[in-house]
Amino acid sequence: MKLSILTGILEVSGDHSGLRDLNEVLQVLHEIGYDTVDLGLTPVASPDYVLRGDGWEKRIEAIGNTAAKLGITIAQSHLPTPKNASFDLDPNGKKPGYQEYFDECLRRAYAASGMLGVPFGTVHPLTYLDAVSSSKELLERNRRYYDKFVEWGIRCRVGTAFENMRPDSPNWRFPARYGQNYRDLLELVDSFDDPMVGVCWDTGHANHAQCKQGEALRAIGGRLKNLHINDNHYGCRDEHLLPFMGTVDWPQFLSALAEIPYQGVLNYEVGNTARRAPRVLQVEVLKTAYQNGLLLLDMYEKARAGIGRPDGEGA
Amino acid sequence: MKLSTTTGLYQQRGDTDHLRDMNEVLQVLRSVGYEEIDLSFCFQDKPDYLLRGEDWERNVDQLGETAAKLGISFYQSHLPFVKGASMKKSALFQRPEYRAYFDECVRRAYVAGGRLGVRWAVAHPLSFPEYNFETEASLKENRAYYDQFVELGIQCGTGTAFENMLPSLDREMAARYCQHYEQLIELVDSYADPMVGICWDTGHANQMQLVQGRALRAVGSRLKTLHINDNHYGNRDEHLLPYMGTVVWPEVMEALVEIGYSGTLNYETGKVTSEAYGEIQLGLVELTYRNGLYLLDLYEKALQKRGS
Repeated sequence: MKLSILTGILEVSGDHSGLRDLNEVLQVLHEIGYDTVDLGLTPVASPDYVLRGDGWEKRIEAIGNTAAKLGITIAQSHLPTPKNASFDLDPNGKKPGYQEYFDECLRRAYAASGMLGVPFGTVHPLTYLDAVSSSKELLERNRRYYDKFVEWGIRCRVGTAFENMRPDSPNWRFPARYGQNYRDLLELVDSFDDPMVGVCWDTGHANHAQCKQGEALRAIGGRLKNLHINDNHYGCRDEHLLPFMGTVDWPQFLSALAEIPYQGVLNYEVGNTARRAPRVLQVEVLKTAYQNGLLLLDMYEKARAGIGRPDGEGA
Repeated sequence: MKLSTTTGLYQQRGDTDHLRDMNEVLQVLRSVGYEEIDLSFCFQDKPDYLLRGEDWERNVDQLGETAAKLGISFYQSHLPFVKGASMKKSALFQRPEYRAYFDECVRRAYVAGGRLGVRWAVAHPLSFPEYNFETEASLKENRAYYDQFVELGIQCGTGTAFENMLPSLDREMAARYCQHYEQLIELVDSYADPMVGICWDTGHANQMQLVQGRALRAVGSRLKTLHINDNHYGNRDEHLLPYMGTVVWPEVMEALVEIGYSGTLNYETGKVTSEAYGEIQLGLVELTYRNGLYLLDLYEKALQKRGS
């Protein structure tokens, strides 16, 4: 398995306004050691968003050329998602024209992912506030929204990976987000009955949902297509820390991951460790993230080889 | 200014409840680059606590030898503290034998600090919900508890630095005494003694939504020690590395320069590493050092800017 990281970790920083050019992001990640990335296509509200306006296809081609030159594989992408996984809770959600703009960004994100050879793009299951108590209705409404995009993704040769959501903690504005329970997530994914639809597993979201991750991963099995590796402390904000900075049971998670037929990458989504830092300090965090990732990979490989409990002392 | 970190950064590990031997902790911290260390005496409830049992003085002397061999200095220490800040609300403190044990740990921590050349011992002001958090009563009760220790510290050559407190994030209490710097200054000034000062915790201040530059200017020369850490207002007391949270670091560094702070830049970021073990933990310890060098550079730039 290869180590990967979401490009979003370098797109914003504390000492520059706006988004950093993605070609430059790839260059920095390459210098640190990464040869595999998750392309973040989520910051739709930014004026610098790569898919905004005319010329987006050319920009994507340039990113493809940069990646090829650097020997970087874009192993997964993060497709646009409304804030708080709900158009009802997205501050832009009610603005005239926003829904159309968002949908076009999502369409372009699939197309861009296809151009770059991404096997699976990650999306968030949506929560509709007037239907939070009905999983059946939420499934139907997610299908109603996503069906056309899943179909479009297939045409672009990009699968859709629905991500497990975190609860609405620490705000608790509503009892549960759709997709925070992995059984709901599986029901949604299975309803497509298509190998181009699978699951993205976010270890931090699962920790917030107090999910037994080993049990969940074994239930997900071959449906698992993408990973968002990060850590946190239950009940707090969605911290997106490095593994072992929070309370995720990593040996349990890695043991289960080693048991299922996962073909993807060990992809870190740890942007909160660096997003406010000046660029020079971001590089230091990324170097540590890279080393942390190699050690986690080693634990995974040991679990696959059946060498006992994959604890860090052997890592 | 020198970079420093708490021994708490490497005493705990995620795969066991046991504490690491302090001599080993010093060795690892020195190998990462640290020469200045904040001695944490806060793990009084652990079975392998340095100051527990009859051999504590021998343990302390051995630690001193290790430090001398490694070229490590102890500018500051952290005294045992009451979790939650209120003895009244703590089940442990309802047992007289625990209270006696705790007080003895505080006493030993001062004596140990004196033997190891610690210049400032950090103490947490206590809160008194039983007195409706009244400022005057809280000050009086803190004096009633701490006076004997402040005096002991003076005899040992160690000053006492009272720390700005974290608000009660779980709302177990409506307020904690000295979460605001005005109360802290009043407490410290009540001693009118140069051996009593302030420890500033940047994370606690952030949880109070303080403009830290203004607060530090009010604290002024009373500032003796630092607990550098970051967090996000309203979340847990995260004790993250600078720039992982929302503290405005240039403002803090500029204020430190302005007030002529002469202590160490001491990191209290043990929660970043306490769940980890093995090489992953070591990698996180190294990251704290590199982060610290950046912040030191920021301080030096602020110093130059003020000088020019």
